[in-house]
Order: sequence, then structure tokens, then C-alpha cells
Amino acid sequence: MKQILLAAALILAPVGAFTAFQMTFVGAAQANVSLGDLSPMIAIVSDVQKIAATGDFKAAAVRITDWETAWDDAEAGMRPLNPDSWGKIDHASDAALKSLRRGTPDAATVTPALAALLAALNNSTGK
Amino acid sequence: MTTVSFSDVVTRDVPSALNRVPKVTFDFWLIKLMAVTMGETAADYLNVNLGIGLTNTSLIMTAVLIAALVLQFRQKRYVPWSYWLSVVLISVVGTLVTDNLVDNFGVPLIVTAVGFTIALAATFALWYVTERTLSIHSIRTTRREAWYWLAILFTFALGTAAGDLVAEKFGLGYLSTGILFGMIIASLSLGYFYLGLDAILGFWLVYILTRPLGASFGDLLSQDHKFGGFGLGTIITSAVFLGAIILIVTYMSVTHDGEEAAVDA
Repeated sequence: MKQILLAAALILAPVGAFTAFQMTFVGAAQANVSLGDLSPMIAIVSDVQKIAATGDFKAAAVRITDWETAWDDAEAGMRPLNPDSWGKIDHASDAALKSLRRGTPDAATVTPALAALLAALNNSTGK
Repeated sequence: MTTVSFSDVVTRDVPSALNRVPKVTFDFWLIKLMAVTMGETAADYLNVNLGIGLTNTSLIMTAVLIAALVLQFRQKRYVPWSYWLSVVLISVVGTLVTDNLVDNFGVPLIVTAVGFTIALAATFALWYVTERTLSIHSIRTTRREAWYWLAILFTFALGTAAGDLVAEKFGLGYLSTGILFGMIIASLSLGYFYLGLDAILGFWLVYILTRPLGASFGDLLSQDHKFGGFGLGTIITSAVFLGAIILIVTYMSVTHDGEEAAVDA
């Protein structure tokens, strides 16, 4: 029991110091921070949209993997800038990926899913 | 006619003179930290690039892990390559398990974190009840080794969930997350060296916490300059870490650095 209390104290001391430091010097998380320049990512999604509009869902599914890679790779850096805005895009991204990766994708789900993803990206730019 | 009973199998599990898992040294922690980062980036890479979906990737990697563990258990002593291969694969599978629970089953991170804490506590409790010790210096039998690896699997899953939870809930960047977990590890180390913190308790706590620390470190190296990272990308970062792991494992194999005699317990 004494050991567990000691361990708890050893963990809580730095956590407390860190939290105090954060609150004093960094301030509360800012809600309206931009995720940065999303134009290269928007370009990929627009491209996927164009391919999907031709009805070639197979090619669109290949191209959307480039978006997935770029989005996943940037997660660690981008997400903390604005977790809310990041979460909205990620949610839309999951739906778009799922719509193109089903056994037989159909325009009725793919088109709105891609439009929603693009809208989420455009919404978070410049805010 | 001969029948093989359970007790025959157990008595054939002859205690070995050597500990089957490595001594905890500076290079142990160094390689553990790199294995963690490798595991995280490799899991992401496989998931995105194999193109067979999260579920299939998880099933395949679990099969590979089981094969590696079979090899490891058959050594019956500490052999650096098979031990560290198992750790890297556990790191990959541990990350995939957490991703699966969150992405495929929609389990919130707080639930996975609490769930894995309970699973880990139950593992230690049953380990203690069956073996009367939790010593990592007396892993002499297959049964004890099984407890050891089960505990390791849960520490990785818990470390992943805890790290993601802190990053998500508090919106901390990888640098802040890294500093936070680094401070906790430093504090526990001071406790162990100067305040009499129990070696086994300290070992397992630090083992959990090196998971988020390693992940932050990997992000720092791989993330783009515009996010304050070194911009190496995930592929180069993984390759550098894999190279370093192979070098250290080779060094350990030549020097027999991590080997130790099993302690009676």
C-alpha cells in the first residue's frame, strides 16, 4: 500500500507541475486556430471527386488513398492545433473512405460523402 | 497405452538456470523505446499501404506475432533476436487492437484505457496467485513466461490508449505529450533510485509510460517542419529505428549483455 501511494505521488507531482505550467504560460486551448494550409489536401479530394464523377470508382478509390496517407501523416502535428475542427474532417474522411471501399460503391453514397469531406475541409480553412 | 496427463506436461516444463527474459539495463530501455516507435509507424504503414483494411491487417499481424512467440518460447532462454522481434510485433498488434476498438467498434478511449488497466491488474493478480512472485528475474518456466508476455501485451495496449487519450482530451501536441511522459518517467526513476520505490512496480509503470513517450518521439522525427517536426516522414523514421534496433540486437547477441542467471523465487 505504501508503495502504491509512493508511486501515485511520483506520478502526480510532475503531472501537477506540468498542468500548472500549461495553465500559466500556454493558456487555455484556443478554439479558433486554423489547421494551417490545407490546399494540397483539398486538391487531392477535388481530384477524387472528378474521377468519381466519371463513374470510375475503382480509380477514385486508388486516388483517395493518397488523401488518407496525407491526412494520417499530418495527424500528430495538425490535430492538437484544433481538435474540434480536425475531428469533423476526420469523421467526414471515414465516411468518404468507407463509401468508396464498399464491395460495389454507388454514386448515391459516394457523391454526398465526398462533398461533405470537401465542405469540412473548406470550412476549417482561414478560421 | 500411455496417456500424457497435464501434470506430465507441467513437470516437463523444467525450470531453466538462466532467466528467459533480459536484464533491465540502459540498452534495454533504449531498444524498448525504439521498438515502440517502430510499432506505431509500422502499424500505420501496414494499415494504409497493404490496402486490405484494418481488420485483415490485424488478423495477419496477430498470426505473425503468434508465430514469433512460439519461436521465443522454444528458446527457453534469453535470445536477443527472438525476444525483441516479439516485442516489436506486440507493439504493432497492441496498436492495431486499440485502433480496432476505437475505429471499428466505436469504443471511447476512456473505456479502453480503464478496460486495459483492469485487464493488466487482473493479469498481475493471477500471476501472483499462481507463482507467488512477480519477479522478472525468475522467469524460469513456460508458465511464468506466458504471464510475462501477457502483461507486456496489456501494457502496450494501455500505453497506446493512455497516450491517445491525453493527446485527444487535452489537445496536447506531441512535444508537450513527450515532455509530460518524460517528466513522469524521470520522477519514477528518482523514486526508484532514492526513495525506495519497489523495483517491480517501478519497472511495469515505466514500461507502460515508455509507450506514449516513444510515440511522441517518433512523431517529432516524422512530422513536417510546419508542425515543428524534423520532417523525416514515417518511412525514413521507421527505417532509421529498425536499423538502430538491428544494430543494438547484434551488439547484445555478441556481448551477451542482457543475460542473467535466474533468481530463486
